Amino acid sequence: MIIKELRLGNFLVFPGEQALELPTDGESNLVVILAPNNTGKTNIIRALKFLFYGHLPDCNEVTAYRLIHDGVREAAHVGTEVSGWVEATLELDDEELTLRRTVKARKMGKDQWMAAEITFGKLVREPKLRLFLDSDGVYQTKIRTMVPEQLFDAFYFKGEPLDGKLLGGVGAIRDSLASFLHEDRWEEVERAAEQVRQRYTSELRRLADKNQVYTRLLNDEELFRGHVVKEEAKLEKKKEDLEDAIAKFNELTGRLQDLGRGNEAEKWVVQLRDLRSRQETARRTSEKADAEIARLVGSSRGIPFLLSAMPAARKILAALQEENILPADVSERFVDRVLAAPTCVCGRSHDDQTRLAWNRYKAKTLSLDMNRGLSDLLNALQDSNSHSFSRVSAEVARKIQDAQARRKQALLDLANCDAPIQDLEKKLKASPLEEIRVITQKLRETGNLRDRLKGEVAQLENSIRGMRQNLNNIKCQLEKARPAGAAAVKERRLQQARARAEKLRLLIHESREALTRTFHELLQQSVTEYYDQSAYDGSKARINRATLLPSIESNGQIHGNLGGGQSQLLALAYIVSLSRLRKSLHTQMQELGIGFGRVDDQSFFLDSPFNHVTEHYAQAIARFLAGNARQVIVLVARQQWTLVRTMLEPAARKLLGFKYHTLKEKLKELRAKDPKLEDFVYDVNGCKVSLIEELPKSEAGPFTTIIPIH
Amino acid sequence: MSSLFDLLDQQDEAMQELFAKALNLYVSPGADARSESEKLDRLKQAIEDSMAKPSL
Repeated sequence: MIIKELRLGNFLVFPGEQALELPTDGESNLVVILAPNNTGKTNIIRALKFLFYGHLPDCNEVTAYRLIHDGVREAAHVGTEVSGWVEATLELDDEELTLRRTVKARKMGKDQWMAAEITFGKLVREPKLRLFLDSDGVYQTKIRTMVPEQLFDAFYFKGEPLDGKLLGGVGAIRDSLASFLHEDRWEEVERAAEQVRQRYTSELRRLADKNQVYTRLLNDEELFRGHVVKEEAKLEKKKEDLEDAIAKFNELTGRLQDLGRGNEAEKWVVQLRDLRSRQETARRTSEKADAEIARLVGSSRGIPFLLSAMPAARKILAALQEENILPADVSERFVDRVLAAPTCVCGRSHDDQTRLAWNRYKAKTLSLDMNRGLSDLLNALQDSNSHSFSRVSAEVARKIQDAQARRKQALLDLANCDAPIQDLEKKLKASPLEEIRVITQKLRETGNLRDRLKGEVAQLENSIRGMRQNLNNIKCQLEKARPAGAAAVKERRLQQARARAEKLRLLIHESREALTRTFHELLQQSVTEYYDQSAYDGSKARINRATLLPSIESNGQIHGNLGGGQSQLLALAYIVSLSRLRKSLHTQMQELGIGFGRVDDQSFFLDSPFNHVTEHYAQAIARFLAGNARQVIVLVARQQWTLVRTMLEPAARKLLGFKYHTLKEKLKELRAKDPKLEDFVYDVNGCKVSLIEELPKSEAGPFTTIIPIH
Repeated sequence: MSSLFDLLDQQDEAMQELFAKALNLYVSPGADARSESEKLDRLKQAIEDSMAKPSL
C-alpha cells in the first residue's frame, strides 16, 4: 500500500491543513523529513495509526479530543464543536482512493469535552460535495488486510521498535506472519477435505447398513487409517527435527572447518610453549651468572681489579732489584747515618745499647726480612708460579668474563623471546579456540540428537509400513465384502469420491508444508542478502523455521537482540523481505487462479531509525533504505542527519522539514540549553536550514508546519 | 514459491482444478461471507465434479 499524499487537519501538533506529498513513480522513492526532536516525528506515526485503525494505545473516546490541535481547542468557545482529521490518498488494488478519519468533540468548559465522535470513510466526490463513506466497512477491512494491526509497528515504526516485538518473538507478531501465508485458511481447507471424506464414509456405512462384514471392515479401515494419519504426523515432525539436526550438524561442521582452515592456533600454542621455556632457561642462566659474578668478586678480595696494575708493579720491583735500590738498602744507610751521628733520633747520646739495637735492626729486620719479602713479592708476581697474583687474578677475571658473557647471552635470549611471545599471545587471543571448543561440544550433542532421531524415524517408518500393510489387507477384504447389485455402483462411486477427498487433503497438506518451507528459505535468503554483508562484526541473520521470526547468530550463539544497530538493520531487512515475499506470494497465487487478494508494495515510515546506532550501522541502514523499497519515509533528527547526510542527501527523492514555531519564552529556554539552537539547524546541500521560528505574541504555540526543503 | 509450484505441476489437471476450487472456497477474500456448511457442500460438489476427469 503506497501513500501518495498524507494530509492532516488540525491534528496533534499540526494546525490548519497540511500535506505531505509523496513521490511514487520511481522504483525507490525515498523521502527524508528533517525533524528536530519534539517537533512531531512521532505524531506522524500516530496520525497514520489513527487513520488506519481509529484508535491509539493511549487514547479512548473520552480522551480522543486531545488529538485535535491544541490551538484549535484553546480557541474554541464553550458549546462549539471542533474537529481534527487525518487523510491519505493511497494506491490500493490499482485504484487510487482517499480515506479520512475524523475526530470531532464538543467543548463543555475549560478542558472539559464531550466524548469524541470518530468517523471513517472513503472520499466520494459529489458535484459540490466531498463525502467520506464506508457504510459496509469494506475499506476498513481492506486497510486491515493490507496492514494487519499487529504489524503496524513493523512498517511504521519509531526509534528502536522491533527489538522487543519482532526479534523478541512476540506471539502477536507470529500470528500476523501466519496471516501473511494464510496458514489458518490452508488448515481450514485441509480439515474441510477430511470432513467431506468422512461424509462419504458415513454414506458408505448407510449404504451397507445390513452388510455387517462390510461395515466392520469399514470401521477397521477407519481405525487403522486414523492410526496411520496420527503416526504419519508424528513421523513428519520427527523428520523435520531430523532435517534440522542434520542441517545444524552440517552447519557446525562447516563452521568448524572454516575455523580450522588456516588456523594455526595449535602450532602457535606449541611455539609459545617452546618460547616460554627458552625464556625461562635464559632467565635461570642469567640469574646463575649474576650469582657467580657476585661470588667471584666477593672471594677475590678485589684482585682482578688490580690485574692491570700488576705489570707496572712487576716492572718497578724488577728495576729496584736490578739497580739494587732496595728499601732495605736505603734503610741501612739511614741506620748508618743514625749510628754516625753523636745522638740517636730521640736526641740522647749513643751508647752501646742503642748502637747494638740499631745494628741488630739493620742486619736482621731490614736486610733479611725486607729482602725476603721483596723476593716473595717478585715470586708471587711471576706468571710461572702457580700461586702468583697475576695467575689467580687472570683466572678470576676469566671466570667473571665467562659469567658476564653467559649473562649477556641469556639477557639477549630473553629480549629476543619477548616480541615473538607477544605476537603469538596476540594471535592466540584473536584465534577462535574457545569458539572451536564450544562448537565441538555442540557438534557432539547435535550428532547424538541426529542419530537418536534417525533411529526414531526408522522405527516410525517400520511401524507405519506395518499399519499400511494391515490397511491394505482390510481394503482387499473390503473389496470382497462390497455390496452387490445396484448398491455396488453407488459404493464404487462413493469410494472413488472418498479417495479423491483424501487425495485433496494430502495435496493441501503438502502444499501448506511446501509453502511454509519455501517461504522460510526465501526469507532467510533475502534477509541474509541484506543483513550479512553489512554486519561488520561477522554476525549472521537467522530465520527460525517454525516461527519465521528473525534472530542474529554471533559466535555460534543465537541472540534475539543485539545492540549497536544490528537489530535495527536486521529488523529493516526482515520487514522489507517479508513484504516483498508476501506480494510475490499473492501474485503467484493469482496466476494459479486462486484469489488470495492482491497485495501491493508496502510503504515504510521510519521514525528515527538511526537512534542508538553506531556510525557503521547508521550508514549501512541509510544505504539499505536508499534502494530496497518502493516507498520509504525517514524522519531524522539533526544528530542523526550528521551521520547519514552523505548517504541520504543524494538518494532522497524529496526533502521536507518540520518547522517548529514557538513563543519567545520557550525560545529563551531552548537557547539556554543550546545557545545557537543547533538542534534546529541542518546542513543540507552545503546550506544551513533553520527549522525554528519565533512566534509573534498574538499567535498560540508551539506548533509544527511541514515545509519543502530545496 | 517454486516448490509449491513444482508440487502442483506434478498433479494432473483434475487435481489442479480441484485444488484451486478448494482454496478459492476457503481462502479468497469473500470466503467469510459463506457459511461452513455451504462451503462443505460446495467442496463436496467440486470433488464430485472433478471425478468427470480421471485422476492418477
